Amino acid sequence: MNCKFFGALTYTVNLNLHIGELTKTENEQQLNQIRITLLNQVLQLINNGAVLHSGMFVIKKMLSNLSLLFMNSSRTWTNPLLTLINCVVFDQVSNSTIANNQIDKALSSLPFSKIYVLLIFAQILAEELVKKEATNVSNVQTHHLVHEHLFPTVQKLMTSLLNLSPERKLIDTWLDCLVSWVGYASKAEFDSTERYDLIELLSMCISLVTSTDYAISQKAIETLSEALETNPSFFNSQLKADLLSMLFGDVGVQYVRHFSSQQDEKSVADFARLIIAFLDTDLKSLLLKLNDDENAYIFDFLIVLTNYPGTPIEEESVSREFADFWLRFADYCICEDTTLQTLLNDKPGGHQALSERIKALFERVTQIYWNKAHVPEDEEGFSQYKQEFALYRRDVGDLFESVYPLVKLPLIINLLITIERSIQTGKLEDIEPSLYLVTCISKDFGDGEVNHQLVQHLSAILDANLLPIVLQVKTDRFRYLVSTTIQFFSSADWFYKTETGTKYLPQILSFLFDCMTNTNLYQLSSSKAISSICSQCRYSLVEFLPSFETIITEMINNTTIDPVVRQRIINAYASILEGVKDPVVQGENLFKLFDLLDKKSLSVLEGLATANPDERERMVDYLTSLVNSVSAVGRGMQLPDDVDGYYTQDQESKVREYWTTDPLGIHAKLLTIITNFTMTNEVLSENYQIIEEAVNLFKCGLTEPLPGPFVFDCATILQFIVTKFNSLKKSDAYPLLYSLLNSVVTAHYRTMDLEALHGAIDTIFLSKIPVIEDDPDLVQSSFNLFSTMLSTRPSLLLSNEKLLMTLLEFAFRHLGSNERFVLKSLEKFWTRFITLRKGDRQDTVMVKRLFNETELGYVLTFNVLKYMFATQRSNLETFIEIIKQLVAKYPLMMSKWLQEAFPKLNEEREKKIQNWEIFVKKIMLTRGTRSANDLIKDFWLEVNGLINYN
Amino acid sequence: MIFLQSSLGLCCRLKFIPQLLHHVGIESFLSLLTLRIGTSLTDALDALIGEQRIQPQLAMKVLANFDRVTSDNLRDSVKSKLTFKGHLHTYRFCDDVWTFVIKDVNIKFDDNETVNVDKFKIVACNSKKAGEV
Repeated sequence: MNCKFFGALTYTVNLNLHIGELTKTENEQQLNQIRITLLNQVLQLINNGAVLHSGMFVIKKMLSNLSLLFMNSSRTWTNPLLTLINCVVFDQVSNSTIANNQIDKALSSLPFSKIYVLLIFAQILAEELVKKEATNVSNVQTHHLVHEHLFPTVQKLMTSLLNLSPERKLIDTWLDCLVSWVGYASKAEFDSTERYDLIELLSMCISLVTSTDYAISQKAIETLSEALETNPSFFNSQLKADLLSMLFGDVGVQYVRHFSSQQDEKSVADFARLIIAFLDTDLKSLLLKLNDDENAYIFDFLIVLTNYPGTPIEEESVSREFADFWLRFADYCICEDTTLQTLLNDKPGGHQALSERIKALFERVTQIYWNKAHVPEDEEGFSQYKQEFALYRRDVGDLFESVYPLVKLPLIINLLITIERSIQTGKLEDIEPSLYLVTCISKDFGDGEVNHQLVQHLSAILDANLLPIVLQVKTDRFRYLVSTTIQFFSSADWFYKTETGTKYLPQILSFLFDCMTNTNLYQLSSSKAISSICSQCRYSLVEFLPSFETIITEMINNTTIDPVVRQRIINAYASILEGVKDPVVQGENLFKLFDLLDKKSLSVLEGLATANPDERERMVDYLTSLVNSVSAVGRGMQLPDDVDGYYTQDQESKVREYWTTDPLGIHAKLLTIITNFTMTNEVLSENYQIIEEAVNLFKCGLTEPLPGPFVFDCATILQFIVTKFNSLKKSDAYPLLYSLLNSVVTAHYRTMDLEALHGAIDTIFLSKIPVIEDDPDLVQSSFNLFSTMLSTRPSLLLSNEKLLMTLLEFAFRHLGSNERFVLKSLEKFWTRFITLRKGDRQDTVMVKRLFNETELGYVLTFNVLKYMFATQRSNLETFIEIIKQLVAKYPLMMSKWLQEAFPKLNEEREKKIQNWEIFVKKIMLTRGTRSANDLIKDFWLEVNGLINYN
Repeated sequence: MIFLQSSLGLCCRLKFIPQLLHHVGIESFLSLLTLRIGTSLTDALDALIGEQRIQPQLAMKVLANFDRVTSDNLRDSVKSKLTFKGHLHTYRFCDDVWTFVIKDVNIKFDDNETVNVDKFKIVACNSKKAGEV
């Protein structure tokens, strides 16, 4: 059989190789001969009982060959299915044909095994036609021929076959064939003006759902789902009415009952999918049905299905199918509210009544999902599907969030009341899902959404000792309750912003600190919640600053604390500190904190050199965490984005005065810490993370509008950059220093001292060019820095001739880079250099003279063209942008540069560039607009002998 | 595919649920979606054509397959969701492609991890072709 299959496969290979040649008019005779040969061989295979029994794959391959032949000669061979029916009926390849209306009779004389082959051929034809469309966008004529000749035969074959009461296998294939034709018809309708009428076939499919053989019903249900999902427009109103009465009538009820009693949940889920696919086609009609009591049975049935018994994921997936559907329906109800108002305008109170019904419906739905959202108690079994259950709960959470605008306050209040009652009755397992769903609904509450009632109910829960109870039951069984509670309080900033909520902050923070310190399990989540609360409620927490001091000391002194936790808590402390508007209090607290950090780090730094490798690794981790904490303070202390009105005039002048004089020497303290970490200790001085944090620390103050603890003057930062650069033995951390200088330029370009800046550039760029050349990351960093100068104050760069000349040469060389990120930074550099948007008159004159009076323009054009033709397709954009800018900015000169560059380029190239003269004319006509993109790309494809894949 | 629930002014909450194309013939859609990996494949195919190791027609077939398989897998295998909150800065609908630029965005992932970004750009197109129901 394998041998036969390889024979069939050989036909496929050769047909694919020679089909172009064979379909030419002069080879029609030969093509016809091949067709006859293939048909003869198919007949031989069909007549061979052994092949028919166990070699169907060979027959399928041969049928696929026939369809390949058909698709390439559909003008001369319009109906391959009818040809094959003829061959099978007359058992020979002949020219006689039977008409479509004779198919009934012809089929009745054939055994089912041969009809099966015909059906398979019909299916293969549809599938091959769809595949062909995937690569060959539109073939209107083929669609027309298929619709006019082939489809009527397919339809006749399928209807006749079903009238013969075939066996189950044949019906299965019939349904598969229908799915394939629905898929093809849908595509044909999109690609052409052909319109398919599949009503008869789909109607037959619907009747198969009522089959007494449940296996056939199941398959018919899958088929209908697929057809509805592919193209619901094939179902007319009659078919939809039939489907509605079937799905929600006795047939549907019996079907669900049968499979429920068999505990075949999968079949019920398939049925649910069909219902959802059907309802999704017309949500508006479903919504209007809600207004009529006569349709109550539809919604009752949907509710029963949604509430399918069993634990979600483990025992049932029906409710998961419905969760998405109800979410879409809820969104639809919200989005179409205005339309509904208009539609129900003529009925007084009609819209209100419908809104009430929608609310009632979703109250029932949410009640079901509240039950389903309980975490199963069977620990061992649950671990098998924990992740999937989490995704399920996420979807349920999304559903509640979407339903909230419809049911409004009662939804969340009911959940809060449930929690309160559960605390009173000791039914703790109901607290977790309720709190989880409250979190989902309220996590994005804006200021306008917080209601007095809501705050009262949440206060009542806290008064009922929710937090102590949760702390008491911190056992394995209730661990989800603890994490959900942390999660809820992490996102309940809407509550803390109210006067009532603020009173509970100490209780909540105390709970979170307990969770953080008593077990490792909740350290990360609770520290995150603390950090978030302190950041949101910094002004309400100022009075708790002294209580934080003990915690902060513990955080710094205890070396075993997770670095992330340490950083978050120190950040939380800094947020509150920022809320203190008195700089004296701020300064005192910061001094204590930095002093503690300095002393603790010094004692560890001293032992670093003598520690063994394991110890040293732990110590470095701890020290890194300390320096992280310092920059965390910097971030926490940043003033809000909108600083206007943040301080009164009096407060502002106090802040300015205090931080300018800096009586406690906090700036000096910080610089000492930075020096200790990054300069003096050999083990740490090359540590990338430490240098990164030092850089972040400097960056914290760069954007501050007022003087502050982290605001350093430009000269200090430049001095750090130069000193650190000179002390580094390896180049890994160079990009960090480039990035810091970049940020300094962005922040201080107006006032920067040119001499100091050029001194720094001398150190980090001019004296290190050989090192930079070898490292693409450094090349990128340096181009980013120079691009920033050009886009802020070009004279920072243009005023230094030596730097400019070296840089231009450097920029030419790297046009040949293979790294995309280097080319992207080069694109930025060159386009900014050419356009010079922020340049003053002197800058503009200087750059124009460079282009007009020196070789710069020609050399740039030549190099851009040279490297562009050698680059990859994905890098082309970089070169296109540079060419466009040159054409736009220097149109006259660019034409000349191009005329000179192409002949020179051809001298260097083995494969000469043709037609460049036309390209030059065309590119100049674009004037550097977007139309140049396609033009350059097409020319690039032509020169490289490639094609456009789109 | 995208639900926009506008609240106050420019403050919008967006939910993005990727549903990918069911049909084949979706090159333009996926070339947007799978930019990095798709362009790398294109570069590799260009190199093979340049070395005369494959014909351009084969490259076309490879890309068509790539698009189909990527689309199928994204549709069938990806279950992750993320939600984000921010200020809607720009939105446009051009040539059947939606573009949203959102500023100061807080992105939440399934595992409750959050990421804050200054700028977030969404390029999305309909999971069905124009005119399709």
